[in-house]
Amino acid sequence: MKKSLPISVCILISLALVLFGLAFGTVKGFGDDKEQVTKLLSGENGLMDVLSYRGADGHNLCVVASRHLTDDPDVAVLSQNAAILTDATQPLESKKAANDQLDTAVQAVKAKLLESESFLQSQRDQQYLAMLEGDLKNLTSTDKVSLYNQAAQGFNDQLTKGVPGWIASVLGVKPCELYQ
Amino acid sequence: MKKWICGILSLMLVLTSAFALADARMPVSRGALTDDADVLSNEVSSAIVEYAGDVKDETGVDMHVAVVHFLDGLDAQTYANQLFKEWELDDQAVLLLCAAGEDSFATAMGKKAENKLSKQNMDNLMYTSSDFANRIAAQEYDIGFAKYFVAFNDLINKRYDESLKLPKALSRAASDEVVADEVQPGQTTTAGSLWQQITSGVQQNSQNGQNGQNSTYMPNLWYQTMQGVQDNSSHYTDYYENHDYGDNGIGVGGWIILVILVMIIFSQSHPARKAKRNYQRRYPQRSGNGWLFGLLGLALMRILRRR
Repeated sequence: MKKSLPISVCILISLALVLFGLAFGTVKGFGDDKEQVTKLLSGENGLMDVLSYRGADGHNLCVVASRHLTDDPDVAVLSQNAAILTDATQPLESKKAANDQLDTAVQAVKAKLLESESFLQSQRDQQYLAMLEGDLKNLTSTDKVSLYNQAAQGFNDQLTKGVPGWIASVLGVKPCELYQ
Repeated sequence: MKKWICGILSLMLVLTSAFALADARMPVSRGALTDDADVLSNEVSSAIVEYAGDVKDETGVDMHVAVVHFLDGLDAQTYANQLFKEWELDDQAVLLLCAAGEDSFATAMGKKAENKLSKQNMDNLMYTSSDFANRIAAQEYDIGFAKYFVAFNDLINKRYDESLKLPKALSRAASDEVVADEVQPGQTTTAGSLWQQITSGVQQNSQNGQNGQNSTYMPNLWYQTMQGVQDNSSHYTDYYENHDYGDNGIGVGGWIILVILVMIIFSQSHPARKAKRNYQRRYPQRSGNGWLFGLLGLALMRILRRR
């Protein structure tokens, strides 16, 4: 004859199962959502890459500028900002500050180049300046920043409201860092 | 001992900083020649591809040439090494990289090719055996590459004991018969590439038919990068549109499994067993097919909901 379980044990086992199911489902669901938001930030051609490409354009402009300007402080500032943007170890906050300053630095270098005789004689470098400015503009015009912030904010909001959000927070799902 | 520690720490610092650099934009391989800067004429480009094929057939050396505008903050050798890996070139491969906007260049090689040709010889080809460095600095790309391949051909014939001949276009270009700079404004010769026409004023500020994103010329590499950036955004948008945040937590399937598990557990309890025994005693001819129909009903509900 089979041994029967007391009803209290059955309730406890069932409760444990339901709790496990809830925890597993919540963590998995929020984990998938976070992965998608993270891809927008640090995935291939995500926001970090866009910032890195802008930094690369800054470096490229420094190469062009160095043919016409020697030991120029504006080129040095551009180079510093470009270095932060292309450095994968820099935090998002530093990258944002460098990115905000990049356009000003580019304009300062451009103004100096336009005063340089040798630059005005070089059709190639004038074309390179136009190319690099165009690429920087294209990279800025992508909706990457607003899309990422919107996605990250949406995810963070879900974490702060409702039972699933509370469970996810308790189980260690962290909010996404905003680009601000 | 201190020297050792300092040495190891310095090496770690160099390695860490090298890995810290974000990836530079690299062109997609288009075979033996990838001229993303668009600085070579059609004639010289075809001749390079033809010659690379001959070299591969006769010696096994897999020659690749890459021309880009810029190196995105890397030095030429690092970029060449990274591109070599990115293109997954083999031990027999040789990659000659030229950055037209930076007037710099480098060679990367596989182990077998390096053993046979030697790094020293390949560096000499760029700086001393040919006029390559000077011609690149003077933006005479056709002549520069042609002269490089004349010297390369001598080296490869010597090392592999072959008698390979250069295509006529390369020999002609190397002997300065075709000079890219001779392209006059308005002239539509094959010797003048799009980039050369733009910088010589023929199509200045014109839209690049293939790559046009704005009013200025845009190399393929940057255009593809922009496409990649847009694809990354669309991927998220698609996910977001097909996903409801409220779904987080356990799904319908999960709930069904949980309910079944709970029912199985409760069916093992003392009251359930007692009720089951009473039921079987009262209705001995009835079977327990209710479970099966219950599950079928749930599955049907799920299918209908999806439709």
